[in-house]
Amino acid sequence: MKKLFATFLCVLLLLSVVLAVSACDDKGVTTDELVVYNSADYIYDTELTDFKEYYRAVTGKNIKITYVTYDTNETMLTKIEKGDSVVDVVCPSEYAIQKLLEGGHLVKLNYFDEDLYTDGFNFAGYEHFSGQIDTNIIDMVEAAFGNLQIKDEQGNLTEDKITDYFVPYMYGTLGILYNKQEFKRLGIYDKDVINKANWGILFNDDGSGNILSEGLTGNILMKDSIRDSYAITLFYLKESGKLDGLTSPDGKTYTDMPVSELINVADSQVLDICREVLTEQKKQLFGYEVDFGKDDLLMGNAIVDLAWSGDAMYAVDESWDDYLCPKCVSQTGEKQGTDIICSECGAVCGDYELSYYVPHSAGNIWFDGWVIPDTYDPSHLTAIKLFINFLNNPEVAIQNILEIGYSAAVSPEAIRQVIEDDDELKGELSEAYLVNSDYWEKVDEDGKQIEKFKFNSWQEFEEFFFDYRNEMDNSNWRYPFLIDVNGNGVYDRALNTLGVMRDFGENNKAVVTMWNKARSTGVNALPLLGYTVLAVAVVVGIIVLCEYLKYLKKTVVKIPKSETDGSASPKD
Amino acid sequence: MRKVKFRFSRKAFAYPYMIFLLLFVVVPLVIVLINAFLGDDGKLTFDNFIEFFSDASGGLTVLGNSLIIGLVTTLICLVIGYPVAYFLAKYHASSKIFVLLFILPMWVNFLIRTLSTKAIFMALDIKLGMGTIMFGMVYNYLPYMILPLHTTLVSIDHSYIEAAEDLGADRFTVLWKTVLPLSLSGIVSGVTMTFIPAISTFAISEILSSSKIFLFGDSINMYFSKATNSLGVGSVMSFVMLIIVIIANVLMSLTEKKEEVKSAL
Amino acid sequence: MKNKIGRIFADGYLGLILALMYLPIFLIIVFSFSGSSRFSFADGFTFNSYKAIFTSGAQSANLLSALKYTLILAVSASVISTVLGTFSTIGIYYLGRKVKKITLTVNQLPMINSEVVMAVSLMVFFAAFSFIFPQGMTRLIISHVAFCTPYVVLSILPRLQQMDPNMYEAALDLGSSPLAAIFKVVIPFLTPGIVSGFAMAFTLSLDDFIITQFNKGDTGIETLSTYIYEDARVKSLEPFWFAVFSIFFVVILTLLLLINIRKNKKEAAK
Repeated sequence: MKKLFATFLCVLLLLSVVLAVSACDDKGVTTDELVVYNSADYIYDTELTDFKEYYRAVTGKNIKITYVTYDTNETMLTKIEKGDSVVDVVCPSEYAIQKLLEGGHLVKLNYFDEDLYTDGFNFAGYEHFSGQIDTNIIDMVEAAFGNLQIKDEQGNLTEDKITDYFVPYMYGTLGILYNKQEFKRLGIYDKDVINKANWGILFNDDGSGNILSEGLTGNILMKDSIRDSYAITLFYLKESGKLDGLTSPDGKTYTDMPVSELINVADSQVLDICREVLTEQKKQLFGYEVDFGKDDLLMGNAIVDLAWSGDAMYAVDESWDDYLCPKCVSQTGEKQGTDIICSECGAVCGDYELSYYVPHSAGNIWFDGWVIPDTYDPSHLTAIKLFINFLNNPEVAIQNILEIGYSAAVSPEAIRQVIEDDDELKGELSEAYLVNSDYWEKVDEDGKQIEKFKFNSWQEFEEFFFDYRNEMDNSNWRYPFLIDVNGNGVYDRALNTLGVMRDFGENNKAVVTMWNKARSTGVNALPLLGYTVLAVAVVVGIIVLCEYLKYLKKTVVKIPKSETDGSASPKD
Repeated sequence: MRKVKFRFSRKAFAYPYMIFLLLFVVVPLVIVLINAFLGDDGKLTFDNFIEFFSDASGGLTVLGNSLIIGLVTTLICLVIGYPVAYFLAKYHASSKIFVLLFILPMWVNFLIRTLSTKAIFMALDIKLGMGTIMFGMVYNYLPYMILPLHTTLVSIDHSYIEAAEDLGADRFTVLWKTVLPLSLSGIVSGVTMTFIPAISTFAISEILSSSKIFLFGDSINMYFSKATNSLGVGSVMSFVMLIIVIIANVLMSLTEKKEEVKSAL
Repeated sequence: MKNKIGRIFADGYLGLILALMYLPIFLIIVFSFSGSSRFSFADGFTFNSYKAIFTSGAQSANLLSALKYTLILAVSASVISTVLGTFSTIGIYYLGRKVKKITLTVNQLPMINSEVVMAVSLMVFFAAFSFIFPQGMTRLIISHVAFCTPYVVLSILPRLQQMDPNMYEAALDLGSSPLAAIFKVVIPFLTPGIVSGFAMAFTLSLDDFIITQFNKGDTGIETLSTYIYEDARVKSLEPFWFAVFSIFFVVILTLLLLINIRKNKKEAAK
């Protein structure tokens, strides 16, 4: 029996070895590989499958994609800098790209030079999409990072620009997500009030150092992120005049600095003021959040949140309320037949409860992009290049915009063009955004006819999607580069009210220290200790009192007791 | 001859574990200590200690707040928990199920318990802050206090109590002068089991104050998960916490020794 | 009379504390049937949140994956620590006095130490020796064994001290080999301690959050605790989580009650 069993095992072992070996030797269609490292939740769900098809169509080969995600740039930086695993292409934020570039970790991409880029492969079906990228973004990037000292492998300075090393992916702004209805209820939903308060909204400051509204106290959310919270604090400092008269170590006045320079200041005197302001702010805060700010606003737990544009757009979209009147900004809608009419002003109801506002005084615009780190596998180079190019196809870009919410670097004109030519896409968009257009069957999942639309026509939707103007300052928060420069009461966004944050570099430690101190102070447990000591003292006092009373009872009662009933007392 | 040989081999069973302890308990702590002396550039320096003890990044403030909160939590747990343990021992010593009911929540994941309390606070529109944190802390650590108290109280020899009652003491004096001193080791044990986790907690303060109130555990968490460069200060803080833990335990064992001496007399 | 008043007061107090302790649990279970997270029965009595557990796509998949990893981790860690703990306890018992004291003190360290410090120390240790210890389950299992084994040791040691030393000698005299004597005499005697040690290790590993959170690295492994922390903390308590929590409460509480009732019955029968 034992022998039979042993032989059986040997045969099994042999079989598995044979199978394993044969599996390795895939004599079928050759498979290329690609390792992609991206931020979590940052591509639309079927993108990888679509890319595989594209790759097959262009090269005729299969491709196996390993898709890894990171949650913070710091995690990503550690992994790339350590360099012990293969990462072919990665999508860091702008300051992380700067860090990697300065650390010599990036490989030249040359996406904007088609000849250089396609040098090395030649496919008939290949279409280079670098022309689709919004030139405004490229201008902005070059302006923000123009002075980077990029060294080559020998350590010599080169003439390279940052755009030689990366391709922009998504971009957005940092701003204030707020509840319109609550603002109206508190009496602060007014153009002048909000445009005067600017970033002060997050600090419950109306722009002149007074409280903006009592109702905001304890209802403001900040981000638990050093970079974002620090940047907007800097803006607030300038607005509120706390930087007046101060100069930087190299002699420049802070208040004269353009936004792009102010946003990157990290001098110790500024850090001190920031710390004080952040500590003061705590009294007004609901708390610090990493991700759930938009959910809290949707659920009505808070009124104001520091948010990124993509998150804000998602939240605004989710906050559609059929009974909200857009004119009265209150839930005064009543159902009359098939429509919902406002009981106060008679307008048709239906509006977003939340809104997004980027203060016009100064703002932050951020972006991220695809780079090739030095941990890439050279045999994957073609796949990498095709992948990056694939992402800039306007058809792919619009899928990303729809799914993720942020604005893609592909220009809105290119996207507009794609939608114009694609009826199927129009149908999808109509259904997703409830547009009353001819491009879709207007029935819901149960087959019922959909009657209530958010947009009454395709044109209305296009205006919303591409030309949306914020009601407070007429800026376009989906495409901040599309601005009305002329006109009354219209604020000029341009490239000089939005600054790009660079890496802190050697100031990093100072900023981190400031942030830690700001987070730690302002909360005092001493009152708690005080109350407890008091309570303990009271209890001890009561016990001592009881003991004393008992003692008195014993000494006082003893004497009459021994006289009256003659029973022996302990004292005797 | 044969016996000596076997005793030797039985002892050897402990060697793998001793190596394991050395490698995965002692060495890591040593590395933390070493890290505390390393600056950002990797050189030996006292900078981290200076930064912590000068409160440059709020380290001392956070430590102070955590100690106070820990102390108050322990006190409240003691005040609430002692009567629970006492009543259970006195009136329900036979019913183990009853005792179990108090200990059971300890076995439910503490995150779930904390998030549940947060949900209730949010629903009742109670502002998240110091009050909710204190509630959450006491709610979380009460079973840790009740368990050792109850174990000790239940094991007190009834003859002591009977003797005290026979000698004419009323119930409060019995409690105050007999039961309480005899349960001291339980109190000390319960206090240590509550105080140490309470001062180093981090998720509770984060969840129940929406990160507004920043405690020692939160600070260490921030240093080790976000600011990946300056591990030095985080290591100093961990080391400080370790010292506090050791001191607390030394104090605890001292009181136990005193108890042993007392009862021997 | 006095006794009765005292008893009523005592029971009242106990009842009050018990009610407060179980109130959050009770409320969560009740409102998990409300389909909303706002603690109102506006939508009526519904099983929606429970259905959502299975239909939530990514969330359900992640939850299941987290459950899987949690169980794998708990089982491997508790088995390893029980085996390690059992043999180590036997060894420790026969150590010389000084060595024994030192070993037991170091053994105590993970128990008395704050979890944060343990987690941090393990994290920097693994980072320093990352070429030996790959990220992921390896590190997690080692970490869990590190903090579970002390409990196993302290669970078995008293039982070992109760054992009659002559039992082992008798087995040897009767011709048994030393190893067989240990397996057939000592270990069976230690079984109650081993079982409670195993149960302790399993529960501790199942419930652990801080140590897992710091040592899970970026491989994407999540246990139930870390996944709840990541998602529920972030998604701000959707009804989905109410249902999950309720299931947790009911399962764990019932299980523990049953185990203990059985234990009590056994002891009463003795």
